[in-house]
Amino acid sequence: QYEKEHHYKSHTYRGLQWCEYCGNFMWGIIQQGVQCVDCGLNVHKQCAKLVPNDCQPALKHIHHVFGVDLTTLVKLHSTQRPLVVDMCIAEIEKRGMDSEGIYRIPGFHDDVIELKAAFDQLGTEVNMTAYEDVNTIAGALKLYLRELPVPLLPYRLYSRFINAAKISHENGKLDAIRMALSATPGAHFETIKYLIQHLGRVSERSNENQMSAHNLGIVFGPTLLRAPENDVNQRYNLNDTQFQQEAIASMIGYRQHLFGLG
Amino acid sequence: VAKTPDRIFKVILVGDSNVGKSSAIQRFCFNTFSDDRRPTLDITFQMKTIVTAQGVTSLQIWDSAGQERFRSVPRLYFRKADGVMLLYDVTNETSLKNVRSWISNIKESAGNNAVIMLLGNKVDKQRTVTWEEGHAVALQCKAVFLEISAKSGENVPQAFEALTRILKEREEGDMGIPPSTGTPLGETIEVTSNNRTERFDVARL
Repeated sequence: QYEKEHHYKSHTYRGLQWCEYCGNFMWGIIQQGVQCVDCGLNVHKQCAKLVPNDCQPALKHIHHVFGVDLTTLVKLHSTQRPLVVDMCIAEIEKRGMDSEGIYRIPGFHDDVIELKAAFDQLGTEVNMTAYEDVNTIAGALKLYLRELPVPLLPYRLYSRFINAAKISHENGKLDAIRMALSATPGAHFETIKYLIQHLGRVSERSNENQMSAHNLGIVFGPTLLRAPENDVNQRYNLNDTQFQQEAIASMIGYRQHLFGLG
Repeated sequence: VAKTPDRIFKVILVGDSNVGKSSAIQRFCFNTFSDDRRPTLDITFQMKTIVTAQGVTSLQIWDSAGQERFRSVPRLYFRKADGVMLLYDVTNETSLKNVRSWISNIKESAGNNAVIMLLGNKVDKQRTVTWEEGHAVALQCKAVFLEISAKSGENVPQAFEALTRILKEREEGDMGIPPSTGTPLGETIEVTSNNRTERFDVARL
């Protein structure tokens, strides 16, 4: 299973509290220690650095599916990939592969929001067949990916992917993309691999659905490869759009090369 | 003969993906249509000058990617827009249903000042949304309504010209100048297309 760091927040304990790492008393009147918001581990601030990355998120601490860190979510549900991704892709493979403009045409906005709420409340119990329009399901998947606090291709690798896409020599580009992919965290890599292989199958039927690798790259570029907001200005971001598209289109086009057969 | 425009209006096109925003611009500015189905990548703009008996007006027409409506449509894009053309696809009911959320997006970002024009595109195809349905939504949203086809060109220049007239009249009304187009503010203007006359109530805007 994937490693996951604890996510500490400073905490004030009302009663007596002992550190769950070193076992010693946590002194003080306020902010005696830190607590992991995902699993509820209580430790000294100085002990927090020593705790291994073995956070196992607990259901009582996490109430949503959308907007939750990807690794946290898959650890919580003990799955390989987020259930939203698996369920939406399964449904689209079932009845959306020949739908013209799949992933491009948005579903009815209110239905997409309703489906999101259903995922948040019901998890795997969601009844996907209730949503007749397959674009609603595609819309929910895109919304899920857009709402990830850390994008599927994480912020810290953003410039590596963009720089890779700028390489004009095809082999060099693919090598650089592969290197950047190998640096993505386990759960993220597993999910991107699954998604790209699905998008590859969509593009194989582009004579029916009009969604070539190029077109899917335009649609998914800014969703999967979001620019870090704090150190990037709007202009930089706009100039990057074509390389976001290029990076995703290359992954789809050379998926067997990059991820192997799947 | 190149003429200096009296006024430049900023017009933006929004709406769901695949409703034909880029195609409408292409038809109006270059009078061409291409059947390739590439989504728009970026935000771009085109200038087009309209010469009428009343004067020369330039439109700065902004095209957007319909994709990223939730996140990436920058506020800057909506800012200071004089007119907004909101497109839907008459062969896709969902794109009309999404009009309301687009309207609230526009109001939030552009304020209440922009003139909104609702356009039903692709009338050359087998429609699933009737004229009446589109018109009802337009009335609710206080938007000017027309049906167009970027492919055949039907009503495309009329739509842009109507929007220009409305913008001019409204501006002249604001400045207290008698309208140069001859329609006093508060009355309706008419745009006649092949078989239907659309009446726009200027005051309502």
